[in-house]
Amino acid sequence: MEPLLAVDDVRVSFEKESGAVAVLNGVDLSVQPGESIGIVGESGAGKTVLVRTILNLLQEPWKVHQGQIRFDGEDLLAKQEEELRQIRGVKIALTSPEPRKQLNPLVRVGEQLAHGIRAHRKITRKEALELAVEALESVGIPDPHLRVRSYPHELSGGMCQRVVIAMALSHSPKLLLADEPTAGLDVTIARQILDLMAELVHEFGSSLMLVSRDMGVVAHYCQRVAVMYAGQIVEVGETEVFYGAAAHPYSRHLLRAARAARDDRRAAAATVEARAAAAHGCAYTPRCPVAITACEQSTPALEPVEDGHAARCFRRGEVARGEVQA
Amino acid sequence: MTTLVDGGGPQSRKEAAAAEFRNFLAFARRRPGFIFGLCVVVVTVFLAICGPYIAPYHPERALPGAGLQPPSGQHWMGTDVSGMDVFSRVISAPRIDLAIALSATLIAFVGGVLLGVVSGFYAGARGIPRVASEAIMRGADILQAFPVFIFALALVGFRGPGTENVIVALAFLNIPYFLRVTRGAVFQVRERPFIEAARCAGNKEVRIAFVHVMPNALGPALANVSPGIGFAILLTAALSFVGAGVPKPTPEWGSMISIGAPNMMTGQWWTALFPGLALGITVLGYALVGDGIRDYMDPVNRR
Repeated sequence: MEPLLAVDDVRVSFEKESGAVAVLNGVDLSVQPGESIGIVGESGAGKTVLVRTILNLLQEPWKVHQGQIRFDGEDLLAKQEEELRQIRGVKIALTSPEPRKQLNPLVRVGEQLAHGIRAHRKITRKEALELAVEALESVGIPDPHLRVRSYPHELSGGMCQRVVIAMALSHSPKLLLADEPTAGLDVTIARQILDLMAELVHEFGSSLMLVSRDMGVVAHYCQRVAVMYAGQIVEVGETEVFYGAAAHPYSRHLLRAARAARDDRRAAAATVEARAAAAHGCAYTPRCPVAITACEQSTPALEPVEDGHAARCFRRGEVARGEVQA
Repeated sequence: MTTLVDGGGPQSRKEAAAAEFRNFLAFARRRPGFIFGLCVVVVTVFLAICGPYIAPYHPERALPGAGLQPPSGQHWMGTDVSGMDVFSRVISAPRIDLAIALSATLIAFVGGVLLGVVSGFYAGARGIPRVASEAIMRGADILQAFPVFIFALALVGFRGPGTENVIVALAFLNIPYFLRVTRGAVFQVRERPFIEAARCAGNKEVRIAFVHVMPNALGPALANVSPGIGFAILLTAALSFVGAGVPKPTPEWGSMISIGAPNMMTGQWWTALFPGLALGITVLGYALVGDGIRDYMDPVNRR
């Protein structure tokens, strides 16, 4: 099947006066129509930058060096601002972390919804406001006809996230990019928000790219998982296969950390070191318990372990089968 | 059709407004300077509206044979060289002074904010918007490179004296201040996540700039309105003092001081002193109100 979104060898850096910092080092990823894919990885892995690159939202000092992003047969990176405007919010929608910050504090939420709706449909303000009421109702906000007149500070964080989701889905996009939709929400609310998002995405037949640090969330809501590390996809596979037989030592590490449900101090301490080493060899080498000499000398490609399951590791087979303790 | 009624509980919103008002009172109580400034603003506004009506004498009519009388029960602040009642003129002056200062500051505020939003929002962009943004800033630099008073004098000299020309000159001079503070605020606001969210929702750049960025970047410019008015009053008086502002005999503090200045030498201190005091107190009051508003908007300085 022709993928809805195909990210091909995308390289992005952050240009500083003292030199460029590579943030995405050749990301390859595809999203099928109607599928939900989870992107996991630690802070600084490049998850958010990837999402923003897909929407071509990066401005200076960010720079996209190479690569292609094909969406629905079009090359997004080659588009002009006005063409992008016709895609953003209509075909690809984004929700970012911290819902309250996504809303303009001085504009009533109904107005903000109506702005988004009217940006792409020739209707009157009044009609747009009525659609906004319906949109709020569809995301489960009680008394939507009252709430359209609320300001963001009058709503709870969970409510704000519902508004943001309503806004993102107001044009039934083909792809929803959900960047940490539950950051800053407590667990029960997070669950409700994710259920709602999954339900609506299913209803519209949209694809979902769920960026999260929570391995449990991704396991529950996504059919496929992609693991990011130091600006690369280091492993991608079906959720069940991945959770059963992760083939990259880093994925194993993440899963173990998630199971232990505690912070791994070693991981935090090694992050900077890992980034510095990313220039040659596998970026994960400094932290990898099963690294071999080859890992320091050349970068492994994202190669298949089996059908539909690939990892960037020379020892992927052994790791996947659990022959080495990674 | 769905009827829209007030959301968020009208009760709670009203309560929030009441709480804000109590906060404001508590804040003002700790600041005598702010209260003094507020009183000055209230009094000048009142005089601007009613001054000429409550004045005991006609502010522009000379009383024959009553020139240069010292302050007395009849003429509280004495009379000037042509026999006009100084007190009547002092309380009639806010009408013209405030009208000039208010309209000039308002024009400067609107112009400065609009230009500030454009220059801040498009700074670092590519193509024509960037050129516009840079051009605006260089224009402001040029305006501010000249000494303020000389520049105002030149502008009025160029257009000829008269109330409208004073307004134009003052508005022009004040634009860079509002422009710069707004530009700075825009730099902060445009990095906030809801701006990107608005962009992702497909809003046009112009709409993002003026609907989403501008209202959130108004604070610093608003805090500068009151001192701006004080500054404009001072400059109006200065221009009138040198004869480039409001034509005589319209009651205006600056021109009154200039009328009275020669009499100071010969001992008739009252003709220039009282308008001078009124001018000083007014400018001080507006500046204090500006300081108070700025502190009030800054949560750290509220205490």
